[in-house]
Amino acid sequence: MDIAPIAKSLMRNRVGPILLALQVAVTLGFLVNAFYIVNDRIEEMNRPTGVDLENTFRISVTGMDRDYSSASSLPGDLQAIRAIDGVHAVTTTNSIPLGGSGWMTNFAVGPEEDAHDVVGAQYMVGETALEAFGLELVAGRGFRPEEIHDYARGESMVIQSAILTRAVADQLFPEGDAVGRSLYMPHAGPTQIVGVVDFLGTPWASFGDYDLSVLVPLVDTGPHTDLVVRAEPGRLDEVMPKVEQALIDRDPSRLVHRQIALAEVASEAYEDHRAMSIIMVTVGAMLLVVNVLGIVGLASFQVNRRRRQIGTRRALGASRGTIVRHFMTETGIIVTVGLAAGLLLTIGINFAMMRLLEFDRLDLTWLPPAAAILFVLGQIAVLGPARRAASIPPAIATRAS
Amino acid sequence: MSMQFAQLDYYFRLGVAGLGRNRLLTGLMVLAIGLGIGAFMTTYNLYYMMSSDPIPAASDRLYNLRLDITPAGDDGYDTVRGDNLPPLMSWRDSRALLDAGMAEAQTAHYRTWVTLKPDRPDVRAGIELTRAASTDFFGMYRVPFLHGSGWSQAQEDNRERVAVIEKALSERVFGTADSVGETLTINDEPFRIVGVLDGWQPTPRFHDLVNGPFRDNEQLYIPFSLVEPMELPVSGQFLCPENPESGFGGMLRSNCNWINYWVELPDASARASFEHWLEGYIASEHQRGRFQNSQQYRLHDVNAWLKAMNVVGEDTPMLVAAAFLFLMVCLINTVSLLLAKFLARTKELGIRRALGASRGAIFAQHMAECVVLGMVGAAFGLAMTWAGLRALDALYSDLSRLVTLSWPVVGLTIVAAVGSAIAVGIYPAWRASRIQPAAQIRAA
Amino acid sequence: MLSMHNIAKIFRTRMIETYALRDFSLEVAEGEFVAVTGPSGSGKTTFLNIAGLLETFDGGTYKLDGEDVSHLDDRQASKLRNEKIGFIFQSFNLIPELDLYDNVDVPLRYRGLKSAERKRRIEAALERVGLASRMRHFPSELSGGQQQRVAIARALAGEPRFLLADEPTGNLDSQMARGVMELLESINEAGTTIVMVTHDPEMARRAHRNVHVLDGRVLDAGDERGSLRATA
Repeated sequence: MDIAPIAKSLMRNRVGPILLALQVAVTLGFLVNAFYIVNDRIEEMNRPTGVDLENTFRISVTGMDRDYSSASSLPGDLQAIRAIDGVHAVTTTNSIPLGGSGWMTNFAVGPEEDAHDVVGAQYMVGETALEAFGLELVAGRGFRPEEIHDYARGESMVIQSAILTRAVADQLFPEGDAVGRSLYMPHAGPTQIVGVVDFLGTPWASFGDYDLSVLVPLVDTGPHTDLVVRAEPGRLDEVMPKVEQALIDRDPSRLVHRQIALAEVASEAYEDHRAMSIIMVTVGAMLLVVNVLGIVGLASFQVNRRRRQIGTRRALGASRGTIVRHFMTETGIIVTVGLAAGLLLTIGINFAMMRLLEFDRLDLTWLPPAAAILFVLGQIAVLGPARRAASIPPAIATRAS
Repeated sequence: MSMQFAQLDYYFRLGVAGLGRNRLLTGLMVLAIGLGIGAFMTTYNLYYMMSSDPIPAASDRLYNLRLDITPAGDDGYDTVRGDNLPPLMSWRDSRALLDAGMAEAQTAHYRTWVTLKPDRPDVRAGIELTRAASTDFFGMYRVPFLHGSGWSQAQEDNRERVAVIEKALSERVFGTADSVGETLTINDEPFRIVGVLDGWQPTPRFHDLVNGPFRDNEQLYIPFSLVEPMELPVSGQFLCPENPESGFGGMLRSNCNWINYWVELPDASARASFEHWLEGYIASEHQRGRFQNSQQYRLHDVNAWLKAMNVVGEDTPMLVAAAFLFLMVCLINTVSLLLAKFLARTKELGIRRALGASRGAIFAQHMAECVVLGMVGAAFGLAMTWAGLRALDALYSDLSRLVTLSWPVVGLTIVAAVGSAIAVGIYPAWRASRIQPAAQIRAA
Repeated sequence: MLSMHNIAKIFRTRMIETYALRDFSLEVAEGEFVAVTGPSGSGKTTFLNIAGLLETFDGGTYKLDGEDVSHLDDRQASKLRNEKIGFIFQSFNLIPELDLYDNVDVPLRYRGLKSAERKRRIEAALERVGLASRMRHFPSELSGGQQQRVAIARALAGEPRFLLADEPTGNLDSQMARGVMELLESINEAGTTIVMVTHDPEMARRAHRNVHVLDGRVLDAGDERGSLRATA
């Protein structure tokens, strides 16, 4: 198509086209950053937890009487839950992945102050934790019943063994020989490492090294107990009320509460990310609509203003298709100029952000798709007005003004 | 004067009539301004509420206090902007500072949980999130009472089982808002209600930012002096530079931090003398082997504390920026539409000019049309802001208090919409005013 | 060159049908300069539109340069207009955003000519109408007569066999009008067939032949006299 004469004629009446190009430029800048943000958030939301989220839930038991002791009722509770049809496994725990609360501890390879260490989550669990969470053991073994110690008030903490995630094992023992070595935690240890699991997310969605977790065989015999129950595949909804009822039946004086599916916990943990993604996508979609309206508006205005000119062009030999292509080319030029300006704008904004907010890099991954979307959308938007232009009868050229 | 008024009136009539013509274009412009303003004001409202002063009456005399309790060589915490001190205080220092009472007023508090066993059979026993707080809490924070009052220093010192209750909980447990004098069974002990609050909820919740600036406040308050005898557990951030010894006693003896500590210092001299005393305290504790990392402390007034804790967060400014870009695009779009609309009337304007309308008159006529457009846009924008806030409420579970339309924001929305309409109208109106009377009669 | 036989053009509304042309027949030979005259509403503009393939017709046959054009589709008609017909309009119809060079360039672009060829033709056509020196000016900077000369240059650049002029002097004062007429006469002398619609008797007289249209038909000589008497 004849780009040069169309571009030249645009320069004669440039305010409308410049405004549209500006609009496209700002939209491109927005889209590139929005795509980046949304992609980033979705990636984070899709991180695995290592846990069988779909079939597992948390339920809490709290003694309401002063003389209540979970130490005495817990074995019976676990037994009652295991007896329920559809329950795969159950364990006590102090926290759950993405639950928001937990213990953050230093794990070191030696007792000295400057020993190599990592900071991660300390899960305090019972002997059937691997089955209850659905963790995949890649080396060593799980906990044994005799390793479980009370973390009751007034007693000192005994941690007999530990199971690391692969991430912790890789960082502390890069040689791959974690099992059998000793782990040192503050005021405890040495603790023998008995196993390595593939993956277990920390309780904190925003914790940088998300999979640095260590399991230790400890049980809190305070009045409040958190239990994690894993149902047979697909039987979560059926099992949840049964477990609740079994716990109530065992001791009605206790409060049985806080039951929630782990999938729901994970979903709530990412609420901000989800909301941000939805908002960015909505605003992006609205921006595209506004751009389409702008393109339709400008093109319609140009068509109406140039009715006689279009008729003349038709008389001079332009077919309907030529007229349609004329307007598509015109919009194509404007959008392309806008995209070029938007590229500069985006680089400028990114550069400023890099300096101001210490953004680590100039990310233009999403530039080509964003530009393509805008260009194609522009061509689609102009189609209607261009068709209307093509339907202007050439005889209009001979009509008296 | 009256002549001018009549002219203005005429321009506005023309403006209204002008908007009535070409309804599609007018509709698009109202949509663009309304959506743009709506999106921007929605996010701005959120930002405004998040960064507003929660206690304007005392925000410059209430100070959050923190000490550097981390062991020598420790990197500390990165919770607070500008320093590595823990964001909360230890039991030991809180207790010592409370007992010294060197500020005009001081309070230590943290969130715990208790069991609640109502005497009425129809109300279920349950767990209640509760704030253990020292006497000055209610006075310092200007907490309004519906009935009764807080507990006295003597009651605090005597470890009396007294409680302040929120109206909602009072109605749930006692069936009445005025439960002063009633008895409530907390952790199997009888507590006497001394005061009822009427939904106290500063936003942001400056007094316990570490545990969520926009969470619901607790429904029950009990004396801080009961922490030891009742072994009240911590329900919230519990930050230990090293693992504590086991048990409740170990926790109290440890350097773990979980307590919000605030002092009221009415003026510079009060502050100076408090700091002087505090430095002496830290120095003497240093002698005993504590504060080996540094002898630093930090005092933040309410607004400085909100900033240091980055209450607004990263997402909200990002949302405001996104909405601002959206508004810009909407306004640019409106300029195009206005230009199209005004220039479509070239013939009529040529005739008006020929009939004696000055350039100024044509300009004024079109600006009046923009003002009318802005007012319609403002109405639509307000509706959009309201809808946007409802959407935010649905998307975020803890923002319900931040998504009420505040009056300043309503005013700002109207001003912004009309202002935007005027700003975008200037160039198109100027173009319209340049149309030549003669050119019109002759040209095609 | 142009052969119309019993052409009919009907404008339909919901209520009535109006014949704009009825049994309209006209022959124009190669090299002729024909003036078509008639009062407004007589159908002369409709004739011009049909002759220039700007409008379709409802009956009869029309052969242009020996080719039956009754059933051409849009692309074929557009190509024919572009290659064989040159248009000159009453209100010039120059494109205001384009300078003179680019205005003359428009039909050549549609023909898909190479850039060098277009340049040669544009310069020659503008030279011919005496405006070569103002190639980079815009239409709004020219007088009406000059604008019409540009329009003629635009028509000439395509080297059409057949030139259709619609009241070419209608918007010009008499001195400018005379200049434009002289230009058309010289073009005709160079071999181009010209059909000119006009209501100006002075201009009509300068053509080889006058055709008078009334109520959608071509009048014969007798009718013409009668009509002239009636108008007088």
